[in-house]
Amino acid sequence: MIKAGSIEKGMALLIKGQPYIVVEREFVNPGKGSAFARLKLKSPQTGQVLRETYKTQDSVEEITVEDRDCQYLYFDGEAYHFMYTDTYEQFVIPQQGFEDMQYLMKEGETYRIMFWEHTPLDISIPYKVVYVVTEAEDAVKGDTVTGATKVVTLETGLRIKVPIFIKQGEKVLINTETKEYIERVNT
Amino acid sequence: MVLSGMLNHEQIEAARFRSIILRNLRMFFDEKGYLEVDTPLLSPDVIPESSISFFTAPFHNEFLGDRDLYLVPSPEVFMKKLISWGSGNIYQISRCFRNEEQLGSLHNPEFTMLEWYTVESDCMESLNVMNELLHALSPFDTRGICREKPEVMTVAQACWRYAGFDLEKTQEPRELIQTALTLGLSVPPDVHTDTWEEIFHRIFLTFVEPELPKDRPCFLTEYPKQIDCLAKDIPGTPWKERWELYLGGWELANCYSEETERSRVESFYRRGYERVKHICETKGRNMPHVDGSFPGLFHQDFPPCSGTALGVDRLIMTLAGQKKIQGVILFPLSDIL
Repeated sequence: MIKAGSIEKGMALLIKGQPYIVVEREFVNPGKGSAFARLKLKSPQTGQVLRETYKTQDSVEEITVEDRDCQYLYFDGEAYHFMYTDTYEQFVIPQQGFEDMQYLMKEGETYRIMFWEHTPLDISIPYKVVYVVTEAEDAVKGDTVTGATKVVTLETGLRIKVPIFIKQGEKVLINTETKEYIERVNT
Repeated sequence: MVLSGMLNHEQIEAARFRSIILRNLRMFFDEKGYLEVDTPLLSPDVIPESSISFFTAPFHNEFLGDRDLYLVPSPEVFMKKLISWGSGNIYQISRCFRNEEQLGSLHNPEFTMLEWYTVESDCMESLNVMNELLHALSPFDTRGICREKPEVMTVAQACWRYAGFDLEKTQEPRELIQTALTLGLSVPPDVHTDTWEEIFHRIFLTFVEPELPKDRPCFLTEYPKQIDCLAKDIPGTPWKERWELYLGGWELANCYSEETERSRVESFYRRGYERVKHICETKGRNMPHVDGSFPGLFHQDFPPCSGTALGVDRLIMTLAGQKKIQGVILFPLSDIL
């Protein structure tokens, strides 16, 4: 059991017997006395979203999870195929509940996956990741407006807004949480 | 230094937009004849409010000695002093400081507040002023929310509409616990030790507030009396003369018909003092210095008045269509720490 005040985004909690991942946590101080933790949780199995509000002093049940390194192989249109890097055993994670991952994971890369009793609960992606720009229109010559932006496509299919000087084939650092451009990476 | 996903030129644009909004806020109140005031940010004492944690600044002086000063959590105390001196209608755009708040998409420990007081007035008249202000700002609203007709509903109506229960008939904690359970909320086994206000907030924050309209301004009026504050009671009801404005789903402004009866302000002070004392004892902290003379401001000639506090950063964020407060504050603390 942990205090609701120490709940963090990404934690796994057992609520009414079901595992949920905390996707949003906001502390609210609405009046005198107690502070509250307002949570948005997601069931990894069904994708169902649950809202709960606890006093920060309430106890909640955190579940014991196991992190394992897994190599991402490919997406078949419905599920992600992975392989445990230690046993080479393959398994799939249905896309439901992990829709965003299609545009963030790179084939062949290793990601840390959170398991609870053999059920994958969460795939963690580093906060900042370098991606190759695979499609970008050339900047129009003479377009010297400071700070002009354009939309490019990255190797994973993710489309993002970048400064106009970014060219196809270049590498960019992306904030995977907000899916926003941070900087160009020179190699 | 991380730049909150913003490019440098976007920060300059944000500064430009902010400047336009601040200018328009001032123009609006100047044209209405409110006096702009500028009160201290450093104060020797505070109002005992248990929900607020203060920033303390050590003051050193050869003659006056060493003592703690506080960065004001709001300009309320000084502005009410001005009203008691006969200032008439006043407004202020001021920095405010609140400690121990999370550095989130809606919070920065240092933020900008617009606070205005209208004398010989009540909160419903301030609601009209707020509406006029929204109208005046609507040309700058990139999402058009301010151009929509505002929705005005009481807290009880909102509870009924979004959570299907009668707030007036659930004035006992056990009735409200039953409502929480019926709604499917997870409550701890010791929920019966909660105050009515705490159970109310469990329900309100989970089922009501997230459902409020986001495409138009939404005023929630008539707040439960159990939420202790310096707003007047509405006689014969369990409510207070208070409203809050939600814009784009975010709590933006809070307004009271101010309590001006000295004895009631005094008892609010006593309750607040006890709560703050309890928190300080539990956390092993020094008790902040409380200005005992504050209730004395409410003398016979203190005019009936209504006060509104509006979060300027959140306002700018909503108008600019930004999702995070960091997008409208230059050098937010989360970036410079």
